Amino acid sequence: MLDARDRVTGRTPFVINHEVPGMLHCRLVRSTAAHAAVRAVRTAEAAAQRGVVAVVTGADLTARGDMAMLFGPVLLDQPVLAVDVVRYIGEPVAAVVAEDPAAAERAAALVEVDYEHKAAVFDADEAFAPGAPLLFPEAPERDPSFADVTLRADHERNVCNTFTVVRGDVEAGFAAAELVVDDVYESPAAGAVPLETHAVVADARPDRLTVWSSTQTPYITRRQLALMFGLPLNRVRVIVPALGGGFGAKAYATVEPIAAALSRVVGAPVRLHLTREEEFVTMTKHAMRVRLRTGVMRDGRIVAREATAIYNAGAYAVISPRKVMFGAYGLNGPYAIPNVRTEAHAVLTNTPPAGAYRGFAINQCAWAYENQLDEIAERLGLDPVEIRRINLLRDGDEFCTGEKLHHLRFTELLDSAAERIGWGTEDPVQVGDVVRAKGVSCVIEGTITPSTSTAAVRLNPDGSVDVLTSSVEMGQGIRPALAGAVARRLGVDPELVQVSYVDTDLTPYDQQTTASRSMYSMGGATGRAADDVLGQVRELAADLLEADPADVVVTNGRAHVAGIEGDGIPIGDVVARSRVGNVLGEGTLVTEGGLDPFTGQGIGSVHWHQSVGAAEVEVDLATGRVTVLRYAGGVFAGEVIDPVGAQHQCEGCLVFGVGNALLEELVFDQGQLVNGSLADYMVPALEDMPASHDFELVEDREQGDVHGLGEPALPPIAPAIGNAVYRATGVRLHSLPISPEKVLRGLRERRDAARRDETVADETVEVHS
Amino acid sequence: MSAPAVFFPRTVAEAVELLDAYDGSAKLVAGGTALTLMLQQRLVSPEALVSLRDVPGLGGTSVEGGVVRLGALVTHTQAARHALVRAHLPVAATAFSLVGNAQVRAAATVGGVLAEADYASDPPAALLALDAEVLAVGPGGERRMPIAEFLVGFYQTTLAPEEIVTRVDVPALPPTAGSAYLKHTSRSHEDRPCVGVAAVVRSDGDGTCRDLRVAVGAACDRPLRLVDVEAGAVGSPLDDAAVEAVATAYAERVDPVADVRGSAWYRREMVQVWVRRAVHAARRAAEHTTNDQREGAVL
Ligand SMILES: Cc1cc2nc3c(=O)[nH]c(=O)nc-3n(C[C@H](O)[C@H](O)[C@H](O)COP(=O)(O)OP(=O)(O)OC[C@H]3O[C@@H](n4cnc5c(N)ncnc54)[C@H](O)[C@@H]3O)c2cc1C
Repeated sequence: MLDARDRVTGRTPFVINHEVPGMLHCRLVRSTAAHAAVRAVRTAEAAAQRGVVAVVTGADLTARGDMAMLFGPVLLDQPVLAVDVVRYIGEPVAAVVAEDPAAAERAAALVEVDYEHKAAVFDADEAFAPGAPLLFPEAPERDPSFADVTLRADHERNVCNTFTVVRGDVEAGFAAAELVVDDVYESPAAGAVPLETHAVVADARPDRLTVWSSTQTPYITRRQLALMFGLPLNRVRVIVPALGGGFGAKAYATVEPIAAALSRVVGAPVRLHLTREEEFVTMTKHAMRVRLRTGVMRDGRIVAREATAIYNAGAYAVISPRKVMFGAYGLNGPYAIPNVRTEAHAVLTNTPPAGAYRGFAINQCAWAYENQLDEIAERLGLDPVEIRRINLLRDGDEFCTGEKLHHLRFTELLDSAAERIGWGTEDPVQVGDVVRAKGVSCVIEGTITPSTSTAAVRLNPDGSVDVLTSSVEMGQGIRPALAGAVARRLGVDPELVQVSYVDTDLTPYDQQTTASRSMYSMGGATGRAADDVLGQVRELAADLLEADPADVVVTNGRAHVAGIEGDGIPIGDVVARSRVGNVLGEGTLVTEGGLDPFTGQGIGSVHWHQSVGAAEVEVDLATGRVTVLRYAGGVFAGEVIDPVGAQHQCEGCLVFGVGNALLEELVFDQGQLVNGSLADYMVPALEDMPASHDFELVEDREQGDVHGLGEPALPPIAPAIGNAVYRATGVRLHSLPISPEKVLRGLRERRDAARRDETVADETVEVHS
Repeated sequence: MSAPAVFFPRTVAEAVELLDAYDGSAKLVAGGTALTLMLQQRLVSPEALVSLRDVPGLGGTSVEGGVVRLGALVTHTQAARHALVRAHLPVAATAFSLVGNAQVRAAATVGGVLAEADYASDPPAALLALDAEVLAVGPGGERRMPIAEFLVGFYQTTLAPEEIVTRVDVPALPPTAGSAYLKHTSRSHEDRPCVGVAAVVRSDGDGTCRDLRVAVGAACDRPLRLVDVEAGAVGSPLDDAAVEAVATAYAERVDPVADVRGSAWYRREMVQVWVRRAVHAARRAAEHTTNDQREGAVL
């Protein structure tokens, strides 16, 4: 496998190992105030330290007048370094550039900042309420691109965007419903915890900027930097070697503008590599709270859903303006609901910015609606699998966006997962203090649409092949997967195919490596590029074979006249003998779509990810501790390109899912993160994983659509575990994570309530006797 | 704040001299697992680091006159696996084997875990239940103190800054004793304990309790033993009701901490549960040893 040897022998290139002659080191001074005016930044003592080259503040950068101070993918709201005001604890206020990291660190500790504290707000519901402190008294400007995002911002209420989906007549739906349930569910902020923290080396020259970055969005970062420095796109070069994990946290520029600005100030390359503690406050998963009302008929059919979700965006918008779209349609779930009104708001607070995170907005939705569906099933006396079968979307059904859906395999996926987990056998089972039970869940998720990928495939005269792509390799295995797919298309040995890392000077445009889109979009673009190569080879071979190009075909890497395989020429030889140097093929894949932000109608996704999960858990009733024993997942893959890689992606999702379900939560106290280290913030260890798991990947090769697998397996995991815990204990938690203490409290409340009922019953008896 | 000087002394005396010379501003390094984190998080900023790496004679495990001697540099992995520890101090072997993860256990040392005195630790409770004694060498020579006097509070010991823990002496458990160490984690399995309980039980053939020792770790500032409660259980059968009474006494008298691993309420609940479970487990183990011995006698 391409990559494997390099990974095992430590030769995979990462930014953190990248060195440039004359490179200086940066250390940031970060805000200790949650919301404050910056009155003074005292840098003299730091600047006088040995080894220190410069101490730079936001005011210093502004005074130069040669760069824009604000950046952001949708809104230009993030200062490179704070200017006048800070909006969260951890926000970069000043930067020390020094000859070595230790000198930078020592000096950074000597910078003093005077703050004049302002009223701050941390909870998104509070920030949304009238009269809350405002993060932006004036609305920030838009970045001119990202035109597909329509803004319904309301900065009077700290809202950076709102998205609404309306279908049918929700009032009539509730009026007709025979049971209405109304709950609030919550998901906390979390960290993506990539093994490699954000890293960048920037080298700014007067007319040119080169940035080595651990970004998932090289081309968006290039555009942002070009805008910031007023440079043409081709004067900004973004080079991205392998990433030590991204998971969304590296999706949009964070450290790149800082390093680039500093490099411009000092006239030398500047390296910035965040500590683990900084990583935790650099990009987070949105905390979300949703009020979810669902109306059902006695037979289990869902007839109405109304939901209002508030995503806590943190202090800056980043990609929240788009996230609310996923959040609004995501709340519908994979069910045929005739009457829907779901709305999602992204609300700014004085906490670290929330960005992309594996499962983009959908995890939080699924946690809510899948718990609630089990609650409804119980109230109706229906089996959880049965109520899902009744409501799951089927071929030809319309989704809440008005799209007619095809190739739906939800029921089959669910039935299979239920069977593999042993659904229907005795449940729950108690032995001593320990009780076991199972739970299921189903989720629908879209991919970013519209979107664009381009690629080039180059056939060399020795038959070797280069794939030039700007998809970022972040451990998900996109390089080996693309190598395999191109090799198959050309009929050559995969060993002959090399896949580039990203260099915007050399590798063609790709929108971004997020949203599980690369195998579909970049796979499509590289496939087209390979077809282009084959077309050109046929032309060239026709001359060599003295045949009509229309009669020339390529099979197993040889060009030959159709029907006469023996006379074929290996495609590399075609290149060599026709003296063209190399054959360069191009491919582009552009998807169309988009939703109206007021009604949610249109095309939400080029295709829809279908995913289910079934978990068996064990709960210690004396301690509340939950152990996930087994997990059976199922995902519609369309076509599996790399079977091992596909399983690895699902397993990675399982680690995230178990972490989200049982362990992970960023805890803030007045805006101060209190568990921002790996000693305090828990990610799952091997022993926390279920002893057994399996993922079924359902294919439909005739349809010919490849679905990305980076995320879809994730969102069903936490609700499946939550539902299993409920069946084991009767405790339904409305907030993640499912900690032992919360479960034990729930058990005690149930016991006390049962006792109260008994006492009431006893008293009643007394009255009557 | 500049980078600390680093020393690799070759004898305990040399190490003590260095510590003394730096007058409280030097830090010893054993396994480095705790110290590295403290340095990284800037909880300490020593002027010098004094490594014990090259000091011979601190890494041995032996038994003398019914006392197991654990050198200060014995790692958790070595302690957990050593035949002498497993035979004579099984409760300690278990506690060392449950610390963190394999990487931490391979580096962390017996002296380090005691000197650090982090309340959220496993081995100290087991060593307290075993009546271990700590040996330390300072400028004034060697002194020896019961572990109950050594550990005095949150991250606090009676060790002077220029003293070095050289050894821990642990009386071997009698072969008829049963013991257990149970660790409760409330987050990842690799987390430090929310509560850990070490229990030692020795009973007569008729079930009368002859010895009970219970040490609760990670629940309060230092491992908790209630000798009056232990003594109260001796002389009568350790039946389920008696075990529950012991658990209740510990739960009532512990002054639990609240931290990321659990509130004070939860900790108290867990003390009750895990004291009960640990004493039960130790009782079962004692029954097995007694049975084994009876079988041995028959053969
Ligand atoms: C990821 C992780 C997980 C952990 N999980 C657990 C757990 O589950 N349970 C648990 O009990 N512990 C746990 N620990 C704590 C671990 O056991 C301690 O860090 C370790 O025991 C310290 O030993 P050390 O040899 O590494 O000490 P060092 O880090 O070298 O030193 C610790 C302190 O003791 C001093 N010191 C060291 N040796 C001596 C000596 N001989 N004389 C005097 N002073 C000395 C040092 O100066 C320093 O102040 C965990 C630690 C980590 C990093």
